[in-house]
Amino acid sequence: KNLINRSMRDLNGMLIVFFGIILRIVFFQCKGIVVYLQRRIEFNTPANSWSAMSEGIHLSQEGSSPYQGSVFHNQPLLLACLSSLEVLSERLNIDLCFYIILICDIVTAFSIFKCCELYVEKTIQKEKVNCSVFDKEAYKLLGIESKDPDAVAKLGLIIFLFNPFSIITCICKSILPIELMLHSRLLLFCIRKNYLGAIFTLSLSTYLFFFPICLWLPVCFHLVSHTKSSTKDILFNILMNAALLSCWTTVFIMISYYLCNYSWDFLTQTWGFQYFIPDMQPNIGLHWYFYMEMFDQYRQFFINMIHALTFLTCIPLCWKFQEDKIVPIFSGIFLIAIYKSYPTFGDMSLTLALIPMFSHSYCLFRNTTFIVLLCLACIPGIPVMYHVWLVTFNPNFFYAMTLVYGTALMLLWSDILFAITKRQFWMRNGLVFPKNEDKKSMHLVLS
Amino acid sequence: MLFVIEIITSLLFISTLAQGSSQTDDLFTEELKLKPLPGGFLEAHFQFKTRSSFPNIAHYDLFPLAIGDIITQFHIDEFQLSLTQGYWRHALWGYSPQPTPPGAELWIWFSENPNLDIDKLWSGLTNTLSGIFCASLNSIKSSNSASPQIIFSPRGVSENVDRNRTFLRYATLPREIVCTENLTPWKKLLPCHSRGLVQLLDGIPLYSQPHHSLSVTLRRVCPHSSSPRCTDPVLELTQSILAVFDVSPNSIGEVPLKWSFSTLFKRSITRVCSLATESTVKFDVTEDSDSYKLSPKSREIISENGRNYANYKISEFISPIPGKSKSKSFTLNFNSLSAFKFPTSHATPPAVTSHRYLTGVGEEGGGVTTLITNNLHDDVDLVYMEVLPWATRVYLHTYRLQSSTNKAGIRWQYYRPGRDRLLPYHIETVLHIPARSEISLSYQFQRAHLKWTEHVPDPHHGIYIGSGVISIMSPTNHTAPNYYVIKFYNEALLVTLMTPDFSMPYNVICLSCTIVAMAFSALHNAITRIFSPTPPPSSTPKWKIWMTKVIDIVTKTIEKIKLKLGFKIKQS
Repeated sequence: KNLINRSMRDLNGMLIVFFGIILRIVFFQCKGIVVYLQRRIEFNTPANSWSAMSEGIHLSQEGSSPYQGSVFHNQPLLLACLSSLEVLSERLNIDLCFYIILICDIVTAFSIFKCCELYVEKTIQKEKVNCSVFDKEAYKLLGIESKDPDAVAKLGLIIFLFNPFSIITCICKSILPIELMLHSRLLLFCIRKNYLGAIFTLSLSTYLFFFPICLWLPVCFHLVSHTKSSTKDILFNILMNAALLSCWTTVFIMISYYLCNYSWDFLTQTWGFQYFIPDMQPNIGLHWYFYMEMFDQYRQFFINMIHALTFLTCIPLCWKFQEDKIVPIFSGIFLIAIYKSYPTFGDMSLTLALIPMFSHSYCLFRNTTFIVLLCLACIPGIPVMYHVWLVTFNPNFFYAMTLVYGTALMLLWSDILFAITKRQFWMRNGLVFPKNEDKKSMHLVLS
Repeated sequence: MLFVIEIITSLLFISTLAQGSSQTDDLFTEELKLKPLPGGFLEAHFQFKTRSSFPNIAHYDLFPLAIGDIITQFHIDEFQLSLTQGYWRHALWGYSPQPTPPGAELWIWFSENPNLDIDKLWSGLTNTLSGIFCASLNSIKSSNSASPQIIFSPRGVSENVDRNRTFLRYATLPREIVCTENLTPWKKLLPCHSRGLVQLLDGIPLYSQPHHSLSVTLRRVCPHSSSPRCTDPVLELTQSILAVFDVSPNSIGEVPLKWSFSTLFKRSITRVCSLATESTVKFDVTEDSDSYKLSPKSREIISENGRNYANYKISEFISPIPGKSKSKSFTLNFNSLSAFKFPTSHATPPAVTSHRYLTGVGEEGGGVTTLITNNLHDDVDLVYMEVLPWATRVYLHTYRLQSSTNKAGIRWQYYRPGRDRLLPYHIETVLHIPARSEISLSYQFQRAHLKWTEHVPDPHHGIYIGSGVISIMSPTNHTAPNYYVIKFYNEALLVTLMTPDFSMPYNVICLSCTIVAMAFSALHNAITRIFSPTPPPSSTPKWKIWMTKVIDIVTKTIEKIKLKLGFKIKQS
């Protein structure tokens, strides 16, 4: 009976994945919609749009360096792979690059499934082992024992595959699904404690997209063993992991240097482009209008400041969440989705799908209604206000909507963090406080 | 005997003197060519040519000092600066005798000396020229300069035929407006400021015409030796003004057509420029010469380049010394006879015509399409160059050539991609167009978003994409010794960019920093604070406490007032 249940569950999962694939292929056949969506700025930025990629492929096939111009901003390794795929697809007359991006989406979906399942299972086991530490009543209410890992994982799968943003990102053929695949694989390798896989994926992701550099320290922390080794050992392990990461990234940079005919101009156009934000094409992030209206003297200062917020945020979180080391990594992926230089709507599809991992803290989310209402207001509002900009020459409406979107995501992030912390507190200290002299119950306050 | 020797030596001396005077090479000629154009227009082409010895300019009585200084200071071989208002409609009027694009155009061949820093010379020269001609040529920077690879070959004598193209710089400013402020310093470069043909150049009637262009061209010519190798080149500076007057009748039925110098230029020539060796007015009488009457009657008809001109030498009509009884003013009068009819188009259309336009809907991107039509009975190879500003980012993978025949094709292409804020997009293509066919070249571009300080004044007007240059060598086999280059331009395009709100920098910084600060505060709270139980606040709500306090104060003051009033009542 258990076997039948398990095979039914697998079949359900397979059906979900199958329908996700069918949806993407069906929508890709409508060429008019695809062409229209490839022009939308909410899904295509200079860093990941397909038109920039095809310009880079065309220039490299003609023999000139695509990094001489200002249109192409992806790494040479990616350019080489996709360029050879394009040559092949011209010969075979099918769009191979779309199918590769579809495969990335499917791999991401599977990774999300496995991440949620494994994380919930591990947390159940860990809390069972440590149940003596926890308060009994709290454990019954807030404990994760009652959650079914499979249901949680399926929820994550459905959220990712049927999220319209991830469907649109896939059919636009943007480079984003590759980044989502690398992030989800990284999370999976970390949960499985697969050292080599995690380090390879993280270094590839940093090489290609620059912002995962903020995940280095959390990942190194996570991969360190949990035995009560001395701080010196822990530090040594962390340094070893960091060194391995740097080695792999250097290998990728050297391959690019060779592919670019021994010139370094690709660094300013790829990593430099992500860091210094020279192209202020509107997107749904906070950077474009900020730097469009910035006084020149302060530009570098503000760039450094906001990037410092992105890169350095996860490091103190590692100390805070010592027991639950996946939270800084998840938080890092979330922050990259909000504060990277050129975000799109597709970045959130992965993080939304990973929220079911923390299904044990659902009841402690405080701002759900508010966040949902904000998103309902700004997500349709952003394309509308973009059109208003074209008509009235006033970008302030569009800018206001992007601010609302940023606020909503940031509220969601802080909500998740506080919910996890609060749950840890309740689990340890019980749901009922000892009463004070007034015979009234105590309140919970951050101090 | 001695006498004979004296005569011989004096003859020799005179002959050497004669040789010497012809070898001083300083020469100034001025010429005005008038030609009726189809559609009711009249082309007036003024050319003032000054020649000077080279390489050392001996005296500046004819050659302008400003230009001479520039040549030596900036190591110039050849240059052309033109300031044009209006577009020369080559499909209607034929090819221009002085082809220039709308706006300002400047191209310069520097001396081929590897020690020169061409970028520094280019920026120094543009600034100097903008000072001399009162034009904002100093907005020519590296972000709108290019080095054409095939077009703009040297027009004069040069050491080698195939010169290194890094010494050629080209820039165009389509936004530049030409006004009388540019005409005045241009006139000051001429040796005769107020005598001769310059008297016709009055700013206001000239500058209200549909097309007018001002240009200064410098090149080296070899007037003496006919052999291909030139041993003693001479500097030639050509200042020309090309204006197209609209002489069509103002109302229907207003025939006969009548114009004269006083109606066109509002001036006439009253004095002769004695420094000019030749000062002539020519009227093109090749077509329909019976249907109109020119007065004064021309004393000779000359033939030049296959066309017949009625030639008027100014010195024959005006005495060189003013005040003498013979002097009078020279004005050409044109009166049409009953058989006169306006030609509506050329009898033979021009060999190649071109038309360029923008395509696309919306503001994110767009496309440029160029149509080139070959009207000849032969296949033609031509060079087409476009320089686009960096703010319109070209997608070269969308570059397409469409034609009705298979034989049209791109023979060679040079593409230099632009860099944001540093370099423009430069596309130079050699095209093969079969006889009597049309091709269409199209590509897409993306519009950049400029910082709020980078927009030009009146940003909602948009930015201009400069005219494309088409150059054909005729005849097409360039092994023939005598060939000439036809160069013409197509339309300049106007592209609107999405503009930010220019009143908002401080507001934007505050708002964005607020959002970032909210994130930071959430992070800070999450890291530095822990949850801990605290005693609850007292059960009476705050508002009750405040209400009791307020009621307390009010009752106390009322009692005080009552006391005071009661005391007063008691007193009174």
